[in-house]
Amino acid sequence: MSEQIKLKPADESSAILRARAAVLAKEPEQTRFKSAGFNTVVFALGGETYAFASEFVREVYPLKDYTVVPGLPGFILGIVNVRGQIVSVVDLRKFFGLPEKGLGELNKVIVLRNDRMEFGIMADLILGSRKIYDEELQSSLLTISGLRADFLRGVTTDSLIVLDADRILNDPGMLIHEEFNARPD
Amino acid sequence: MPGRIDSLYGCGIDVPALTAKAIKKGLISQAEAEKLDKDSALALIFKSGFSTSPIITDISGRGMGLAIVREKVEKLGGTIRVESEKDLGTTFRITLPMSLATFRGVLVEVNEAMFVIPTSYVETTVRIKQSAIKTVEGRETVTLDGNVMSLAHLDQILDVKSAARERLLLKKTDTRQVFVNLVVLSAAGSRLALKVDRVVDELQVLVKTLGRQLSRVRNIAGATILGNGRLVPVVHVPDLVIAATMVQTRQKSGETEISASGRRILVAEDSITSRTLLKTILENAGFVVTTAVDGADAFSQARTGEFDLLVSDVDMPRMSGFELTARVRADKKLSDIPVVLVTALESREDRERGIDAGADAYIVKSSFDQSNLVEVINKLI
Repeated sequence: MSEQIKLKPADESSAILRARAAVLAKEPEQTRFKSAGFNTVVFALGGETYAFASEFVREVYPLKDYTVVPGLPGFILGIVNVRGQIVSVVDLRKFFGLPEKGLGELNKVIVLRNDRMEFGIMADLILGSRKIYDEELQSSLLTISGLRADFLRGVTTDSLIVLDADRILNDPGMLIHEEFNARPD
Repeated sequence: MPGRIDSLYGCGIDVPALTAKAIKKGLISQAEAEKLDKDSALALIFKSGFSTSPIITDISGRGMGLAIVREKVEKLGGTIRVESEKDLGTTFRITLPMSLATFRGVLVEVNEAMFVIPTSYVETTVRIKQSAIKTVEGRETVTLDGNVMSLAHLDQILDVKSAARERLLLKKTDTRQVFVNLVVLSAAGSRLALKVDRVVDELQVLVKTLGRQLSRVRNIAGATILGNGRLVPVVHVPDLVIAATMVQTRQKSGETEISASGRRILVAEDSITSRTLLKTILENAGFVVTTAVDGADAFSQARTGEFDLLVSDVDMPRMSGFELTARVRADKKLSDIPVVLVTALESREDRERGIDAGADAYIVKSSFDQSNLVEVINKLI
């Protein structure tokens, strides 16, 4: 069995490749914004779309299994094993006190960290990454009720809620430190 | 091999004088004092606020020193004991583990959750008859080797929710009702019998912290990773012993009421969180729940088991909920089982497709709430 492959002359192929490259090439997006902007990880949770600044996102991990630790507040789902390291996982809807409607997928964990704190956040779906410019952000809270304003960096015109990962990480309510004071002796 | 520090000083502890002081301080009652053996009486010196010194100086007499010593030793996973002969001297024996990171632990199960108890605190594990548990002044006690000790339920101390399935199993399986598994703990000079469902194993474990967020959690010292990757919390025994004295052991009411008739439901859902949520909701409503991780798993479980109803997600790997429903309808054994689809797909076409496949109900996830699911299920069976 032999198959004849017809090769085109070299200049003809390079012309074709150039034409294809021209079609695929995209002009760098001209931004209307002066600020440098920041990269974010965009995710869906409970029917809303949120974003965290990428600098605070260590990684995204699939939530396959978790272990409940007794005695923790309701907003902590439990702990997961991320390649041998134990990470606690937070249900943001419960932490924010948002109404829990519906049954989400909740099978992704976004591991957030700064120099002082580290924990995971449950997400329904990771939608990708996006660059956000400060000028895009509005502080208007009309779209989100009940969410504490200091946890927000702002909301974009297309209703992407940009959360302040640093503030959430540093919130004193997030740290669980229970000394057993009630010693009877 | 644990390291050991022995020290010898003083002129011995006068035990009768010690107990008299404790009674005077109100730490124990006269009746309790009479029941104390020598070791337990000596253990009184570790109580805070207890001092045999008649005067308080800058550095002594407040009754804090030994209480602090005990706390520090226990923090390191060790124990402290005291032996004394009047007029001869006193020996304090501090036993510390060589390594803090790895230790031997007893793996126990309670209400389907697993916990590791550090072996250093475990005196023994025993299986006794349920009838050997006596109730004294509203507290459960057991007698082992002639010693009476109080009994605590690990699930109650840790508040691990008991699943409906477990209650039903307890009723059905006679051996589990007649015999009770106990882990006898020894910490802070007192002993405690801890009731667990099952003693699984004793193994070498590497304890890890619970991560930055969980700096200190009551009753839990850390967690370990089993060979299969599963995380298991390691209990903090000194906390547990204190908690046991505070949890008023609830009087067993014999039968726990079960609202639904123990009907069996198979739940097929690939997301771990949704699967757990559905299982909890249905078990709280009194159903016996078995779970499957996808359509194919659900189908094979449905073929081999006996179920009264199937609850299934639509979007699953290997076999979707639509396909599962169609296969169930086509199967001779399963064709009559009611099927409830729970799905993120809201469109009319999807709903029709579900009904076409043979589903009896179609619940959209975005409008999901506990009561409508249970209501729908109760209508179907």
